[in-house]
Amino acid sequence: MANVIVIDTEKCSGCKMCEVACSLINTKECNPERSRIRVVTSQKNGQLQFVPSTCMQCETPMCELVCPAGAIGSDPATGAKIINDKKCIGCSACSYACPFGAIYVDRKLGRAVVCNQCEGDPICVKVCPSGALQYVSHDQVNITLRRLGSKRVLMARDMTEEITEPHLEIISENREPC
Amino acid sequence: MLDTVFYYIEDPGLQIVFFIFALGLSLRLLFFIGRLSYSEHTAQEGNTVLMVAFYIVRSLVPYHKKMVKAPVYTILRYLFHLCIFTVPIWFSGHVAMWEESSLEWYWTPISDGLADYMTLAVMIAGAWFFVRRILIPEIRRNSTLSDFIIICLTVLPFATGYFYTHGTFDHIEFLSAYMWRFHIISGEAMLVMIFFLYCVVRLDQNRCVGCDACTLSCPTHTLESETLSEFRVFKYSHYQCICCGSCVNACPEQAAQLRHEMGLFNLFKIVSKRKIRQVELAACEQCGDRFAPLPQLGKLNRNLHRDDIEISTLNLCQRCKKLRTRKNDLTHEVHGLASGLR
Repeated sequence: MANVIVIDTEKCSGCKMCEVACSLINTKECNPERSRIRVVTSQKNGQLQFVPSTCMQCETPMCELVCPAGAIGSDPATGAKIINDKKCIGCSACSYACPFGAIYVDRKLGRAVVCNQCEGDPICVKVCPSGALQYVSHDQVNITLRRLGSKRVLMARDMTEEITEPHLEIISENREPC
Repeated sequence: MLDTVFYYIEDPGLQIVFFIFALGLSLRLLFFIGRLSYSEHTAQEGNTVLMVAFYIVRSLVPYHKKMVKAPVYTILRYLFHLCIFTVPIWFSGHVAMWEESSLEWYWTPISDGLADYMTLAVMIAGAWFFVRRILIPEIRRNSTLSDFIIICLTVLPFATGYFYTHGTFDHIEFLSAYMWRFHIISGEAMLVMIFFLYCVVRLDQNRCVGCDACTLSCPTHTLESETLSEFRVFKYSHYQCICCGSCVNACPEQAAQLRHEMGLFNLFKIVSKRKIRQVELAACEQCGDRFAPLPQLGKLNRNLHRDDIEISTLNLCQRCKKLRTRKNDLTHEVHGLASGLR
């Protein structure tokens, strides 16, 4: 069954080690711009907030639906999305359709790239110093995390998630900043 | 009077036309090589000569997307072009004329029967291309007068040559006397036309959504796109183009086409790139960044709407979509922007 990268946004310190490691492993160059996981920084009430974001591995993937070349499929072992290099034409339709902005077209390669979980051994999880990223089997995601996730889903009842059914769960509590 | 004019067209005329033809082709080859080595992009990516040779050979092999979609048309097109090159060069009458000339060149001609069949194939295929251009509305809309002129000028020397050798119209006195001259004049016209004939990439304005797939697939970086504030501009240079058809294969909308074009002043447009398409970019709803071509978003929206899916994030840029995934934003804006699919 599918494995997922669980992201805890509250734990993320914004060090962007995951971006550096991902780009080094996947593109052989240190260029966070070309990383498949991106940490987005935003400011809310004068406080910086970091959101690591990568492929959500939706059950009904929009990227697969809109692809005119039929280049996107999923890996049966890990559940990660894989892009057929030969079929992909780099039209960016997937990147516009993705509700999470996880897939994009690498101008240097001329084709779309998305998190492939490093073939079952994601480097971003290994290098994350704050433990914001965890790689767990979809079945063994801690029941409390799931509860939190479902509470979040209930709170933020969002039709996006109802239709696309993302496997990845972003967990966070409303903690007081220390 | 008419005879004297024809006489001059034949005797110095033919030599002049051949001279112009050879000079023009060698000039164009020179500009082509110069432009390819001038372009800074190709120099970075390994052996340019090998790459160009590979793509030219690949374009000569009839194995591509068009072959699967329209096999009859593609076979006819390859046959047409093969015959156009073979018959004038290896026809026994032409070879004999070269042998008799002061140059005394000789090469083995093809048999007359084969030449006949090939000429007939050219005539039939040419007629079909002409009729097809008129009959199919999609193609008629994209056709210009020069497309018809090109077909006519190409087929005419073959038709007159066939009529002359077979004496088809010998019962009409005027035609039987002047068919030989018509053949020479039309042949000269075709040779001059080749001098001005370019194979260029065209993006169909009605189909192209501005997705950039063609520019990413272009091996020589001939077709380039540039973002100018709110527009994405596609630029193209005909001397850099090796007519490999990568863009045609890549285009998801069948908008990129390789077309013959007559350009009287194309010869000296060596370095400059011409603008062939301009699409407006859509602005992100939240941050106002220009991020995606409007026609492509519209097309995506229509396609998804047909499947009863609506993505409200379609008008958000990558960064705003990523920010959306944070829990706080989702809870706060659940009824607003971030409502996702409806």
